[in-house]
Amino acid sequence: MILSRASIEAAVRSGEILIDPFDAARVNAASYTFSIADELFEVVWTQAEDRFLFDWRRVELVDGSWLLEPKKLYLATTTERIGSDAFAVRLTGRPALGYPGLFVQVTADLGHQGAKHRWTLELIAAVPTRVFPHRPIGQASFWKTTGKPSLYRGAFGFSDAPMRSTLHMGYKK
Amino acid sequence: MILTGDAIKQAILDRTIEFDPFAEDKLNPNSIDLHLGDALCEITDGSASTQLPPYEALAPEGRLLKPGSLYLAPSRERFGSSVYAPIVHGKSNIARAGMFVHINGELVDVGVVDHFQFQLLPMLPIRVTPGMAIAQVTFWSVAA
Repeated sequence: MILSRASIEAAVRSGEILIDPFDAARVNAASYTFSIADELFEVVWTQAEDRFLFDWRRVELVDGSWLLEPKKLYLATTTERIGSDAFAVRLTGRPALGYPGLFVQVTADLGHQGAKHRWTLELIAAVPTRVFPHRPIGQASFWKTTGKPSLYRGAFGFSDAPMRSTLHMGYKK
Repeated sequence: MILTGDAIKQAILDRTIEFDPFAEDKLNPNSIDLHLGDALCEITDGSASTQLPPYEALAPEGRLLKPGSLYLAPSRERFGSSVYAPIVHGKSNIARAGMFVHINGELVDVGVVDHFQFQLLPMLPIRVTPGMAIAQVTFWSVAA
């Protein structure tokens, strides 16, 4: 079952859900609207003689926003630290926020019970998309679980910085 | 409600979830990992008049997928449940490498036990190998 507005508000008050900073106006009928923080990286690749090299480059703000180019991969984080020991989380886009054609999380929408941090955002735009730091970009929904919990305690669940794929880490730097 | 890793394990042991091959270390707090099988095909034309191409064997050294190209590939695991609804999700590590593992086709019918057919859509070059952990499946209770 998905948590309603009232259940999300109650769980934040009781500490079962962490959303920090929390803004009551961001609670929707069955989700919470989160923001993108103020760092954005593009994952870029070049073709060397016999292999591909991957790097990530900080994307600088121009007049207070970033322009995401189509079909490129960008990594960022949420502004908020979000997580729960009691509920599973799903992070998804929210078309009403004004980003037509922005894929949020590239099909990896599941947040495990126990992970609490600024979530890495994986962003791919279908069309040129202007994104503003610390403005709403997606929504987190919270889901009741059944069974004995085993909380996520891996390193990925505590990082507040954007994380790159381990598939790319070995290539450069 | 979404099953915890322990509930998934119990359901596999009592056969309310079919999942083969099963290994306990592939369980996560709310899901179990899915792996690439040993076959894959590239789809260059999705028009109705065109037959889907046959799968090609995926060699142990893997295959380099091209950005913007679409591939179909079966999961190594055969799974399903007549009690719970499975939903397939990407893994963060694969999303951060820029690859979609499905195109809105994440929900599996209750009662169907089969291999999942991934729709792989990479935005960056990526080498995929047989048995690579590329996705995960959650199981959800169904209202009577």
